[in-house]
Amino acid sequence: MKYLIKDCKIIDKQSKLNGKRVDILIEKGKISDIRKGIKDEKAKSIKGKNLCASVGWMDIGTHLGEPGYEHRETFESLANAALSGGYTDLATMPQSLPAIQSKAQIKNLISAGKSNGIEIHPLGALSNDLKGENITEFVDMHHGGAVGFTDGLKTVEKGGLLLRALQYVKSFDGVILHHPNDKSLSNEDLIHEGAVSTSMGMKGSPSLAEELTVYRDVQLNSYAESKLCIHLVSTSEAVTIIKSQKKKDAKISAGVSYLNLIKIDEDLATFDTNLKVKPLLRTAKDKRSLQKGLADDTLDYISSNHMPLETEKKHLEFPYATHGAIGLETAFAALNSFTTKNLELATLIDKLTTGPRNVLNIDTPTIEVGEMAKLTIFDPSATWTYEQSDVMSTSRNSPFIGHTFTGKVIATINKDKVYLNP
Amino acid sequence: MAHSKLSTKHLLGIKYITADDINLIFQTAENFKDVINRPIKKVPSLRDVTIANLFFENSTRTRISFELAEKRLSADVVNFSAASSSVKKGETLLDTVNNILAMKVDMVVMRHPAPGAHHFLSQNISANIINAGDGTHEHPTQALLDAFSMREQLGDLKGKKIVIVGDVMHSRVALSNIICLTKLGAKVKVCGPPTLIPKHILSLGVEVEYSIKKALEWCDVANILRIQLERMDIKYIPSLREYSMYYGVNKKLVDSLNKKIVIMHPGPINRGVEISSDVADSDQAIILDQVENGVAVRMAVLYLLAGNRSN
Repeated sequence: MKYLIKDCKIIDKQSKLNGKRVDILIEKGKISDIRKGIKDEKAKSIKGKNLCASVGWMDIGTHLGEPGYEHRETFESLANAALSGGYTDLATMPQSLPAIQSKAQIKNLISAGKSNGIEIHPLGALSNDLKGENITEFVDMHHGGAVGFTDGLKTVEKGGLLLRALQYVKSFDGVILHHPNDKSLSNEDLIHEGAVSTSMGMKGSPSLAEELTVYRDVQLNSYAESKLCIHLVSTSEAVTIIKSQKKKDAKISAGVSYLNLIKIDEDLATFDTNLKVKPLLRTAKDKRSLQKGLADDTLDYISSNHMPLETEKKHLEFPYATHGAIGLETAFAALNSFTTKNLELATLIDKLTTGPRNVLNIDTPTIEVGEMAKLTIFDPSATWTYEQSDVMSTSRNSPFIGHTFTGKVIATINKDKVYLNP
Repeated sequence: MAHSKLSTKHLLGIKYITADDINLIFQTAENFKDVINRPIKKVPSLRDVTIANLFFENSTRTRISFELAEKRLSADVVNFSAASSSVKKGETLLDTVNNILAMKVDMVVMRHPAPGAHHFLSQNISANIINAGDGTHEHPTQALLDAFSMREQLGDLKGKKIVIVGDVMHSRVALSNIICLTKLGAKVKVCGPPTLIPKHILSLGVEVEYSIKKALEWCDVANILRIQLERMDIKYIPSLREYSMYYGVNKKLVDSLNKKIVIMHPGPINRGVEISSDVADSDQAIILDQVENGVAVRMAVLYLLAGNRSN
């Protein structure tokens, strides 16, 4: 099957064609032609009013359903959610049942991705059974294809353990991903501590719980002379610390969840459990700092922070609901709808393509004739509504169900897998 | 012309009602206070209305006060109480409530340990919901009866000085009081050990005073909170002994003030901890008036919300 993408603008900072409007012909999973006015009657054409094409998007920190939580997400539903949201590549969290901590499991995930049309780049567990006590078999998992090691959104409490992990990955130039949050300060992460938590009568988690951990982590990395990615920051001060540290230590990277670029603590006034997420939604000032942090490259990537959860874990009184929201299907549309006043489209795309790949030492594909086709085709001006019946994930825990967005993914192409959104 | 209807279908918290709503509740409560002091204390206002009192947390006075208010309005009443949360037992809150509503209940009075539990319920069921306490969030009828009692002593509360003493951090009474009193134009200070005062309390428009003596010298009314040991997951104060010595309100302290202040307490009292017996039983204390007013205020709330029923 051949596909012809008509009149699309290339958004790819690394490409010579960046900003140009062209046609792209895809044949047998490869880009066979790029120029204006391609005609090929045998090819299925992909058209739109204001089409753009970028390298296929990559997510860091997607939570899996399989193995163990098939009722939340299967590999098939995960792949469909990803492709529908424009993602060709996912670096997945080790939080399955059992946790991902062996070479065999890593290989299995990679193969499950392939058979469902996406590329899974597994992150292995940092500590055995995610218990925060001893490091796992990093080298073996690395040889199986693990792209980094993390305990997911579970913070490593012991500085000594994180230090050993940072030291141990140096033998293969590996990377440790760590989510910063001091549990002893964070009051169960119910809500950000501030005026909103006070008026809602809940003990909040101060920004300090994140900032102190970020500070500790960058110091540990500097001591270990290793490679650390601070996965998902939410506070203004964390951005400041990272910005200053990056000047001294080029091996520090950091990411942000898309919800933190859009929503703030005030949005929790109605106790919406689909906005009960980690990291916590903070203030308007924090949101603005995170946006600025992306624009000045303090922050390297935007994560969908996709966490599928069954209704029984979310349709509850606020304190009892589990943290997390699905995000793959809505990350781009929500970012494009709500952040473009402060963030250029080219920046957003960079943080969904090159940014995450650089963090994990993964080569970014190029949009050139002869290269394999790894493309996301989107229309930033198209409007659509995210209906409950459209949700591709097995889970429904999204704060955006029923919401109308501006900005739509039209097609996602991962080699010979071509996914067209209705 | 005063309003004759509440702006809301539920009483989820003081923050969701207006000053006009509060004043309407007060006017209505004055009438009901007359009623409950008559030889025949009952009126037929809520005949044919069925009210479920769902208490997922322990309560004595609030539960009895609501039940009396309901019975004096001639409502049919069912009571449900669970020592521990239904969630822990396996049944979800929504299932429990839906089961009860299937028996055709019109209004739900609920106490629940989770902040926002009433919001959650209001989004999922059609009955009127009255919050009788949701964790550390709100306890609106307590705030209304407190303000009503202060008003009886001082008249219009605008510009009056009220200090709330004690465990502000864990107190839904404190939060509802602060919101209610500031809506009525009163000046509010909170006083207690810094570990029991939320860091961002100033955002509610109150001031903080750490010295109990200075706080009492400033105020017209002191509302003294119970130390809620059951809500403290960790130790916020070193000992009750030290608390009592430095934040307890005793006769010597009260007598040393240059004016006579009104003393209030939402109960139940830890005698000898936050308040000494000789103060609690003195003529400055209006603790039992608060209890009496509680019934009248709750009658007013039930009566007015019943008028806003969807059918």
